[in-house]
Amino acid sequence: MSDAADTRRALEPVIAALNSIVLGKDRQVRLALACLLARGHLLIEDLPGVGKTTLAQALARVLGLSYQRVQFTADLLPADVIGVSVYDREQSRFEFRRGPVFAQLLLADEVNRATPKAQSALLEAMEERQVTVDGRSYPLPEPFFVVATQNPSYQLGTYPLPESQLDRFLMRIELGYPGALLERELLRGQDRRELLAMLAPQLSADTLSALQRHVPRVHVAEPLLDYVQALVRHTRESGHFEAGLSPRAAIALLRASQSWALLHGRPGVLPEDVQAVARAVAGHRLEPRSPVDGSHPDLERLLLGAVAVP
Amino acid sequence: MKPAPGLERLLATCGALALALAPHVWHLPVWTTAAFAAAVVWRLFAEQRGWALPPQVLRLAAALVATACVLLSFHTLNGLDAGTALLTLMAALKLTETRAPRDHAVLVFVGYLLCLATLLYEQSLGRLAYTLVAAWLLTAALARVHRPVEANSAVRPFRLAARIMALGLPLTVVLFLFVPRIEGRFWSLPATSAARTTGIDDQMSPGDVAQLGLSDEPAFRVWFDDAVPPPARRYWRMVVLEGFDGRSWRRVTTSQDFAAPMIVPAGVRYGYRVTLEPTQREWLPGLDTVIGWPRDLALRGRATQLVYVEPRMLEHRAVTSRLDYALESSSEARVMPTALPADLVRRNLLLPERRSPQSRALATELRAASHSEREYIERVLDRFRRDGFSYTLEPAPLGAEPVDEFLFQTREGFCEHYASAFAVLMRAAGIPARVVIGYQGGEWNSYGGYLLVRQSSAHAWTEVWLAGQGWLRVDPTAAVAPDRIRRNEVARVGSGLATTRLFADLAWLGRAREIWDAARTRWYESVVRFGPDRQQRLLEALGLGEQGVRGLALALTAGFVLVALALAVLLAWELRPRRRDPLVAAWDAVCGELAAAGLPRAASEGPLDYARRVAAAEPAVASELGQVAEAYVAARYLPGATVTDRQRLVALARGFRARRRGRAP
Repeated sequence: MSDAADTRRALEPVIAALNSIVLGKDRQVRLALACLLARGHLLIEDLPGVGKTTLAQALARVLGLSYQRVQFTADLLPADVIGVSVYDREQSRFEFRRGPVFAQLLLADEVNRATPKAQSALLEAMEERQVTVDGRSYPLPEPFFVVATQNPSYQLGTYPLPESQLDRFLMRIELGYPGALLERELLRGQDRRELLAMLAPQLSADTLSALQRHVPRVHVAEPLLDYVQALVRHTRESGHFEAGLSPRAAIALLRASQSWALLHGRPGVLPEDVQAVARAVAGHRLEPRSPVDGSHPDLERLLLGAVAVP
Repeated sequence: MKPAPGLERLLATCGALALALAPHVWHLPVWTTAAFAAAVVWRLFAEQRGWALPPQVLRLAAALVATACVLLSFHTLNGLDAGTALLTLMAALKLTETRAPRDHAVLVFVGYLLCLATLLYEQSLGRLAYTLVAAWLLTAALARVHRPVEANSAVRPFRLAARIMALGLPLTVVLFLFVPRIEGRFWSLPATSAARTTGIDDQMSPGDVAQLGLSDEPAFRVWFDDAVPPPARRYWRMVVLEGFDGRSWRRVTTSQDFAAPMIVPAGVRYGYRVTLEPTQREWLPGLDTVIGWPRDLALRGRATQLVYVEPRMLEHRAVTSRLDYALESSSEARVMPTALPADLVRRNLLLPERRSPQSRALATELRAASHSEREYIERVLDRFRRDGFSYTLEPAPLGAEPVDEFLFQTREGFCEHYASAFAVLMRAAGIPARVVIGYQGGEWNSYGGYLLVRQSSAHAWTEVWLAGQGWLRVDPTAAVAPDRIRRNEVARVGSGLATTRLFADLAWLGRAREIWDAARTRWYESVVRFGPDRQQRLLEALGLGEQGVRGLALALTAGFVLVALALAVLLAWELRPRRRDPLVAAWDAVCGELAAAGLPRAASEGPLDYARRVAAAEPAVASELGQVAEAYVAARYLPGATVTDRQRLVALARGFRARRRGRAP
């Protein structure tokens, strides 16, 4: 799997299959895939009904991953996510019943509806890649990929994720409404569920993990490191943002860029790769200082447009 | 928590201003300083609480009142003191309307003026260092208000200010060296230290002094031409006291004093230059015995006013600022060896009637037992050595007959007691005697190569006249406390000086003091004393000696040009184009070519994105530009790029440009 062209050949059918289910969202599909390859977790923020769940399910099917879904609600308990110890009368000992978190792809739907306690149970599992109950640790399956969805937080009765928790997601993307033509096709076409059921896995587990291992080895040239550093420095020193990107965020940006390059069959990272993922990686980690008129300044203009490509 | 930007700026400006004002506090009326402090406190509160600043009418009235107050207390608005007071009050008033950066700038410039005024009062090295710090903080405050809030980190204004001052240094040197010097006092400098005169007076009453305060202030410094006298020979004469009333010794002035005495030089000759600290008195110290006049022109016009009254130096004008003069002394000169004028004999034998009866009786008894005057002197000194006399700086106070009480009861005292009692015993035995006061000793500063004499070295001794030998120096204190003379060790007995002594024992502290004194002396010698004559010498060294003011103008212009050139070179060096990768240069050339055609690459645009954008706008170049971009990306960002890849890009870029130029000349 070292050859770039091979990688591309392996991933083309995956992307094609995903695009056949989630129409007109090529870019988001690729970002989601890049996020998964970089071993990151994905946060999808959008209104209900634009295809968040469909995207997650399609990813699981196409990549042949075991799939679980948890609908986060206000009364969700941590045990509902990670599992619970129950007493086994016959063997007279406690037995751990694994929760839905023990899946290769976990869809945490509307994660901001649950209480912070339940949220943090999930986020801890994401970070540690294992679950500890009653002093015993249970490793989570490999690969382990969380797709959390979140409704925009101006809706009532939500607990928006704090900045520190947002940092655990490698990327945040928005899906948005489909275009008119695609929506028509959607209306006319088959039910997505049926299509999903017909979808066959396009990638073996071995290939997937090989790809994941390859991401950090994608070549990064010196000028490109300069570029990443310049971007990060700009967020810290320009005064356009409340707080600059952390070193962890800088690493995240680099990994995502590598993953993006790999996805496009390139042996090394280009400035364009960094620019392609910058919004998804940095968007939820940066709070632009709002201008007086209350408009939301565009991250692309504030960050990418302001830093020269070395 | 970081204060709000407005408060932060005010704090910076007020702090720097207060620092600039601080040295003036001692000579400003208390109410001006109080007004300034009140204005600062009020303004800071107003900023924090968001109070409204006073209306214009009120500010105008306050300005008038402040001016009236200054007029009332100084009777003028002119002069250094009144000007400083007015400046302080106006700064306080300006604070009450300070909002915009321009207001801060006005305050900072008031601060600069205060710094300038500080140096008019005093030009010591320590004061200069302080003023530089104040000016630095003022500049930093100025930098702070003139930069956007976001751009200011905690240290950046300070760094910028330091840089500005460092860049200004060469110009300062040029101005210092070549701006025409004005002889005399251009500024009417006040006699600031008049109040704290220490040291030598022209009378002494040993009985009245219970404790002698010792000040470590320097009295004068001496540079010797070659030989340096040993510690025991370092007697610096200043005043001769001849009149005695039973209690106090006084200087006697008559017109005859101005007759030049006869002096026969002998022993070692010492040539030296003295720098005297202001004394507010008219006497100048000279090494015993002065035989020669100033040889260099340091004193110029003053030299004629130096009047030689016996071997003591006298200047008619009080010394209010540092004074330099050169002298020549000899170690064993004889003064008036042949005859003493009758009126001087009379004056130096005079003792008040019916005073000091015990002392007179003792003198008669001892004189009768002695075969010669020499022997008598030895007997008296022997008595000081043997009969339980001790040296102390805290002697018991003496009553109505101080000499008798000292000689027969207390038997303790310092140089003045011994000199006084000795002179009385001499006169009672018919030997002309007088008291001399001045300094004894001095510390050799090896870093500066000069002798420093401190106020604490003030000393009193006696001179007796013996026929055929002239005036002879006899120091009775040396008989009691030989160390005081031999090692120049002021016996620091008693509680008050215990700490001084403790510090004197620390070798490193002594060295540090020595270095500091050498540094400030060097500062004075080379900077403060840089006057018209030195400037003339500098011009002569530059070959512009005969040009006069034109020479200065020439030197100034040349200096300005040189400084400007140096700054230009520095700037060019800082803005120099960094050496670029030929790879990047080739790509930039291609981009430049397209930019000329109206398709510039944005600095933040990646190469492939740019190629795509141009291809969309100008399909004709699409494939060729695509090739160049691919080659650039491969050589710069992708792994395994070889020299061939790089050369390929350079070749492609050259070809691209050549073809474009050919097509569209």
